[in-house]
Amino acid sequence: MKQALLLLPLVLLAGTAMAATQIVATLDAPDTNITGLGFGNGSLWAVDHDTEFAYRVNPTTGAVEHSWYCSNSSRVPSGLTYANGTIYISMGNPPNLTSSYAYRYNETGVYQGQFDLDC
Amino acid sequence: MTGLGASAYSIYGAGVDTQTMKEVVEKYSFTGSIQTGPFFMLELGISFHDIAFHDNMIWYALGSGGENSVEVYNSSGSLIHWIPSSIVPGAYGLTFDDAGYLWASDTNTDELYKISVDFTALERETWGAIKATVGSL
Repeated sequence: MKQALLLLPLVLLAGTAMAATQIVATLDAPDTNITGLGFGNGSLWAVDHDTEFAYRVNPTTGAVEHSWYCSNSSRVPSGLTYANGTIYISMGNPPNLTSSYAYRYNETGVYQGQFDLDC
Repeated sequence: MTGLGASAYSIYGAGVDTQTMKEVVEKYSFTGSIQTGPFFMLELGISFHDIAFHDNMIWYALGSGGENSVEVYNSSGSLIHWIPSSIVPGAYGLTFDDAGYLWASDTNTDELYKISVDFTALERETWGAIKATVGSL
């Protein structure tokens, strides 16, 4: 009995900690191989590694609000982030994504420039 | 570089240094000027996809099939938090929204997950305390 009473607060505490991290919503992805995600100006921004399309997604409904083809002749997209009104998409040469660059786009998908990501 | 994250002031690019094979995170200005020194370059021994930058820590999307789908490291390369695959089955793309929710894309389920994260060191320390307590009883 004493052991049970000693363990009870710890078990309750652990239950609280485990419950703290959870999936609270699930949306259909806009494509089948989304490997980069960013958030900005109220939208989710996503890029697909295979189709090389970038998407603006409504984070409440999952609706695709805009998309554009961000293909590069040899490099393929991997990561994505949003900052300062700009979508940054990392692209590198497959399979190990070498010679990587960050490609910059505005929110309508117009190319703004690029910079070298290799060290 | 495979993953990109951002803070209010910088872009963070994460990859593996081809010479040392260590995980490296470089910091750039919004226009692409590399900042002094890597944010870190350490041998973490992980395979990752996208990253997110939050609370001055790097959140790595580890894909699926492993014990954890997300791991969080500070600038010293210490593992601070993690999300087990039992909670989030897969994470490839990764970002935080303005409300502090973590978002992950899962290429196995073709879904985007909105994740409520309230990690502290509590999870790690609590389980350690439970094991220690049970072991002593």
